[in-house]
Amino acid sequence: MQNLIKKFGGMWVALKPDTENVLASGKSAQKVYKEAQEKGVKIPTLFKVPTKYIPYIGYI
Amino acid sequence: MQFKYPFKVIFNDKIPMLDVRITNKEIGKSVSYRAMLDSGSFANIFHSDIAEVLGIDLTKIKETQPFGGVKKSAQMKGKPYIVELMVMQKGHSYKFDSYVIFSDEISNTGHPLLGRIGFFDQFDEVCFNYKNDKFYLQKD
Repeated sequence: MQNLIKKFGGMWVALKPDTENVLASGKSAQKVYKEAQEKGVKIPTLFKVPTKYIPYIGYI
Repeated sequence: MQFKYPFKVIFNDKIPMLDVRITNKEIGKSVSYRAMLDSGSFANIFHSDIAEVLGIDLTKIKETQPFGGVKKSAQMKGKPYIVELMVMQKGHSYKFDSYVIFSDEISNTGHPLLGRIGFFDQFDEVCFNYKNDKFYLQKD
C-alpha cells in the first residue's frame, strides 16, 4: 500500500480485484470505474487511497 | 466456509483490509470496494462516491445517521441504505443484505469500514491471527 500512497495519495484507483494492480486513477470514482471497465475488467475494485499513512485509532 | 486474507502491511502496521462486492439490487449494478474490518465501528461506513457508482441517489434518502469517533468534537453523518454485500474467494462466496451508511465525511487519511451491524453480525467467527499474518471470516 505504500506505493499506492506515494503515487496515488488522495485519489480513487480502480484495481484488479485482490491485487494492487492499478487499472485507472483519478478524482472521480465513477470515471475511474468506467475507465477500468473499458480495459476489460467487468467489476474492478475501487479504493480511495489515503493522502498519507497515519496509524488508525478509531476515527475515520 | 472460510475466507482467509493476508493483512495489508504498511510501515509494520498490519491492516485488515479486504475487497467486498457491493450490489444495488434495485438496478443490479455492482462494484468491488476495498474496506477495513473494524469491530469498533457500529456499522459499515462507505464513501458516498460509491453510492453514485451504484446508481443510488442519496439526496432522495430523508433519514440521516449520525456517528462519531474518538475525536473530541466530531460528529459525522451519512445516509443509510440496504445493499447486498458479497465476499468471495477461490470459487466460493457468501452474500447477504447489509446496512450501510454512505458518508462524505470519511477523512483523507481514513478508510471505509466494515463494522458490527451489516458485516460482523453476518459471520459465525471473525478472527485476527497476527502471528500468522492472516485474518479470516467463518460462516458455518
